[in-house]
Amino acid sequence: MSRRQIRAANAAALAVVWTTATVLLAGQGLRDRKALVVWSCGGNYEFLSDFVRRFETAHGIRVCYTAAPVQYLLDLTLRGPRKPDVIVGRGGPGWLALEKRGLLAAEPTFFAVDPMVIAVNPGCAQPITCIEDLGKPGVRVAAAPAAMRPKGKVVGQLMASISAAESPGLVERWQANMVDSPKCGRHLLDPLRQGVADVAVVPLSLTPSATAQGTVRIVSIAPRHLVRMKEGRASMPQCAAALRTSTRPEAAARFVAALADPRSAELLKRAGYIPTASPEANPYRPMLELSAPRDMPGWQVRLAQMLVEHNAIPAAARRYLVAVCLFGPSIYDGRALCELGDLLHAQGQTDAAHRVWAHAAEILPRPLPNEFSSDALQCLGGVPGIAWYDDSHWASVARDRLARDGATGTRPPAWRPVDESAPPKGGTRQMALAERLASLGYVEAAVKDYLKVCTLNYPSTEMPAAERAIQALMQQHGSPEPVASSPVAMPPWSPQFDTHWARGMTLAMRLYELGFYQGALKEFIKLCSGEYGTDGDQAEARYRAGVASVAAGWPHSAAWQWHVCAAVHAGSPWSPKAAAALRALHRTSRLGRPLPDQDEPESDDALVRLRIAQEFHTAGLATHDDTLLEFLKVLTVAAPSKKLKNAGDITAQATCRLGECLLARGDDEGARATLNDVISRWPRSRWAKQARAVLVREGAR
Amino acid sequence: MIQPITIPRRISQLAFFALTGQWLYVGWTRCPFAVPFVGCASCPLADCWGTWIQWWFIWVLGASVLLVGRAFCGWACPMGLVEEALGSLPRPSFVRRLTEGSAWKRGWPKIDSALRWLRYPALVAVAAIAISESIDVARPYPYVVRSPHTFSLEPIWIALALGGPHYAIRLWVLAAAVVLGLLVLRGWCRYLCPLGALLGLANKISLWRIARDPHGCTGCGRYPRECIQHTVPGTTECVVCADCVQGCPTDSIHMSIRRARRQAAGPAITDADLPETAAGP
Repeated sequence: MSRRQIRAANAAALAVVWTTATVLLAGQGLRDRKALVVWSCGGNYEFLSDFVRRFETAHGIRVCYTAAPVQYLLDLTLRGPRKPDVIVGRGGPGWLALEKRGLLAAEPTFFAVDPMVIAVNPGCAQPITCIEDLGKPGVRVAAAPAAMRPKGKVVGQLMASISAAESPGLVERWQANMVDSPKCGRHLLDPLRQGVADVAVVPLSLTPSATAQGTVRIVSIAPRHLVRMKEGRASMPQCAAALRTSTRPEAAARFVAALADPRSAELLKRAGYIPTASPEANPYRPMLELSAPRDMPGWQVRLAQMLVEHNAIPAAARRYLVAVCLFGPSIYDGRALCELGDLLHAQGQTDAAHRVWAHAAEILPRPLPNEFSSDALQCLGGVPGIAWYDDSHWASVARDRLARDGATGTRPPAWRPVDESAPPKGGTRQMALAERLASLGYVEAAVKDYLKVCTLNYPSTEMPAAERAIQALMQQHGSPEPVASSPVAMPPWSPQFDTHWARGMTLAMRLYELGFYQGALKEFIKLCSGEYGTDGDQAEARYRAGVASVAAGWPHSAAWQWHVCAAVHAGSPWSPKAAAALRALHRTSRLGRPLPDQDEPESDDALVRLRIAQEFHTAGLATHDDTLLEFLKVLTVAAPSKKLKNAGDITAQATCRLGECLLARGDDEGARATLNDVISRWPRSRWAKQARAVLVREGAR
Repeated sequence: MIQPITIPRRISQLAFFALTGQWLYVGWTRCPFAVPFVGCASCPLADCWGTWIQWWFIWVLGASVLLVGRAFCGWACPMGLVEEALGSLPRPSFVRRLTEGSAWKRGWPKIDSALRWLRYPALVAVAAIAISESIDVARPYPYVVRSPHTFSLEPIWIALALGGPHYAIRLWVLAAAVVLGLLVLRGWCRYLCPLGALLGLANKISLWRIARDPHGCTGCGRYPRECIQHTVPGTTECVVCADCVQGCPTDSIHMSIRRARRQAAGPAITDADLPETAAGP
């Protein structure tokens, strides 16, 4: 080979590089210029890649398709100058934000459902036939971390939802059974294939290749469990919409229509989806709507602020921590911590305030941008009266507060971090809340939350630590009675005996035994109001509520409880006891007549809350913080759903009663404003009439 | 001067370019990890070839390192080929004027020697980031951007708009590598490549190596002057392209097995042997 030939061959080889780069980049650039721009959720990638190829062939329209987490894409669409022609993805609050901003050319089209299913290792020794089986002892569970939204966080939300509704403790047992947690949700079936785990709850779309290979078996989850979910449900329906800003509206509309077309059904099924065009999707139809869960952490902060306004300080402090520990992490964490610090400072608890601010300065700002700080959620309005600031703002507020007090050297407390992966309201979160309350000196609230870990969250892995903390707290703060060396035993798990009622009753009894009679009374009232279901003897709860009232020093309340027990539960063995106790109190003449449906369970959360608040009010405890708290809950965190027929009436009643409570607490100005609010907002209601009467009576006084 | 061995080397480079070029491109532009090419086995970026080729690639690389040191850089690395392609373009006139001045020529070897040390801080930084950011965090890939069209600019734009700072930093580094490649032949490989820094150390332990016969060598300075890395054979910068083996006018440079060194090949050439005026950009 001559020198010239070598040089020519070398030049040709390098030219190949240049030509390849130019052809690929320039060719793709030219192609993209004329293409329909489609953005989708990453989970749809395999399906949409195939679909796009088919669509291009069938319609002669080029598509430039990109997949990324849909919440970020929706966010980008809302704030960025560059927008796609079509957006495809799981349902969620972002879609409502797009709709609110008028960016959608038409309502989103639901084309498929991707329900959660149980993937089972065929070699699993235990029979797995339903979701409850995941809580059985010895079942090895794999689960993804909460950072993986549909494959991680939603699964925790599903288990918590089933626990709350039907199978108490399932979420804790499921957590205790967890043996493997792959970092990426897409690899969730690997532990099953490798024999490391027996089961995993996964979206159906993750399973087609594994089921085809026979490496996993699929067990359906009853659709009622999925439909009932309040949070995370939106991750299952798949929808698509053309944007109003599209430069190719006709092509965009065709793309969306083609997705929902029955001819796409085979492709959707192959990808593991249930096409909405098929009858199999019928049980999931209630999920096919755009929805956004209530902004619970925001509402918890708002409730805390209202409690501060009405001088219910311990309740407010706990509520700020509830926002952080039970509903966090959220955009409101910074506000909650800084305002809690302010509250403690105003109460003279400067050391506690400094530690809270130091904690805020330590954990904020968090390293990665999160979807809870997205424009999409902000666009939906958030919570009235609460402005949005990012973590950096609150970190600087906390540092400024510390600097103002000359306490920049304060060491942040060694509180356990709030685990995002922990299911909502689970034992881990409850433990974090109790720990913070104890550290800030709120002993009664802390003990109650530790007790919740051992009772309502039974069998949480945190139970031994919680029991130890209770013992320590009781001893530190001079327990009036010696603390029981062994805690009240919970019945061993059995679906027949482990009920919400049994858990609630155990909590109430243990509070009573530890001398927290007010807390015990509240739990008994919750039992009577249906908060813990209807699996127990309400007459017993009524009778015990009377006993707790006496112990708390509220004879009027005791008389009311026994009066109701004797009158409403006449056939119960507790009725004669209540009647005898009532006679001993000599209070019968001052009590009203209980309604026949006094102990009928309520169906809606707002009604349960209203009932609890009313019970306190009727029992003569209008000045008590818990009464105020429960009425405020009806107006904030447990506001009646708009679908409820008498939502307005419930709100009016709660507002009117709140006014009466404020009056009883001596807050005349606040009471007047609240009652006038009832009169102006619901002028023709009976609550407006009552508010007027109260105002006239108070004016005369 | 190009030697006949360049042709099989180009063929090898083109083959590896076809096999790993997509990985290089996606890794550099859209990899969700702070450091690309390290977490491919657990990466959910299904349209990147690295997901499938990383494991056997690691074995091939490991074996080649033990056998022939840093030959991967000269014979297989797709970035090396791109750098050589960039280096084949005519340099801008201002660069030519600058680098052909006698003052520059006198000062360049010292600058060149100093810049070569940059590879090691780059290696340490990349290793530290890879360990802290990519391997052991709960959420290593918050933004995974996928596209069936590898070379579409849309996913790059989305990654930049959504992601952490690593996307932007990597694109700036890529731009720097391209500019460097235009100015200095294999500038990236010589001054910044962290993998090159790591593999270069293998030149000291590999079974095969390029060695010099001290009796035949006249010290004419042709290599490093005509070396693609502007180095002398057998140093940590040598990418075992073997141009020098064929191009040595006295036939004093050849491949040899390390254990036979003391008997036949004489001592390998070291950095200290590098003539100061020989290495140009």
